[in-house]
Amino acid sequence: MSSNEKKQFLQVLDQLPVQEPSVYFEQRLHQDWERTILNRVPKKHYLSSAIALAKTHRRVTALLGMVVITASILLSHYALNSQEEDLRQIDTLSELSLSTI
Amino acid sequence: MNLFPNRQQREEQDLLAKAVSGDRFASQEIIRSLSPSAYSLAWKMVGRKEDAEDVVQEAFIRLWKSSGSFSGKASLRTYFYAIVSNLCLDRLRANSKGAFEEFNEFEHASGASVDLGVECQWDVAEIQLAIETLSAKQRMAILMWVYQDLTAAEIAKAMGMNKNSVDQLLFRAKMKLKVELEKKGGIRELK
Repeated sequence: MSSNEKKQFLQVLDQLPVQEPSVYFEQRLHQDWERTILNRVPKKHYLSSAIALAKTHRRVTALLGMVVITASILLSHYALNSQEEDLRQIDTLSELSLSTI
Repeated sequence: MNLFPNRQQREEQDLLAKAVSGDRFASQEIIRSLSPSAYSLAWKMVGRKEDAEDVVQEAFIRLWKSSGSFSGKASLRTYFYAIVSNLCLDRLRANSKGAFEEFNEFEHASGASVDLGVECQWDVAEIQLAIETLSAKQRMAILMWVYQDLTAAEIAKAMGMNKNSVDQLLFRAKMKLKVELEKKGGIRELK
């Protein structure tokens, strides 16, 4: 089927006027979507929505996962260090107080 | 038809998934991109504004409800036109029982092209009358071929037929249009 043939038929069929749809046609389509989808999706199921979203954006989810893991490692490292520091300070203070006595 | 979805088809699949999971912007994008051409196809098929609007509305409801069936192997547009064309055919079938022809015979060279003449122009009424002589399936096939730029294989998928039947259907539709237009004042060339 040549493109020239298609062009000729397009030229003929293009002359058929299409009546414009109603003003509220597109709005009705949106309302139908709301009725069909928003009524169907239970609002309490946040977890399933989050899983669906995660499945759709796999790269972003992987990136977020890496950020969370790195942050938790850094935080635990910091927490351990600061705990040791606290203990050292307590030791120093107790030694100081003992020597004062 | 692709065995595996390409990037655009994967994006369309994601967009549909978002719309169905409640994303308003995704649904708006789908409605804006599909509704004008689907309405035009339906109007040219059923010939009445109210019927065309009903068909497109019903097609969108089916799209939202059956989003899981969209595998992304064809484009979302092809998938949606399949729903629209089937609804148009159902409506025409209900309105005019017995007006449907079956196309199982293959007496024509279905791959042959039909020449309408160079830069022809007819009155709108003449074209309208010529179009009305086509059966509903012929009209649907030729509209999908011309306007949606679908191949015979894609039209076959949309109409639930095999490719050979669609080749035959298209050939007959083109021949019939040519004959009817020639009858109605002959092929006139533009100056």
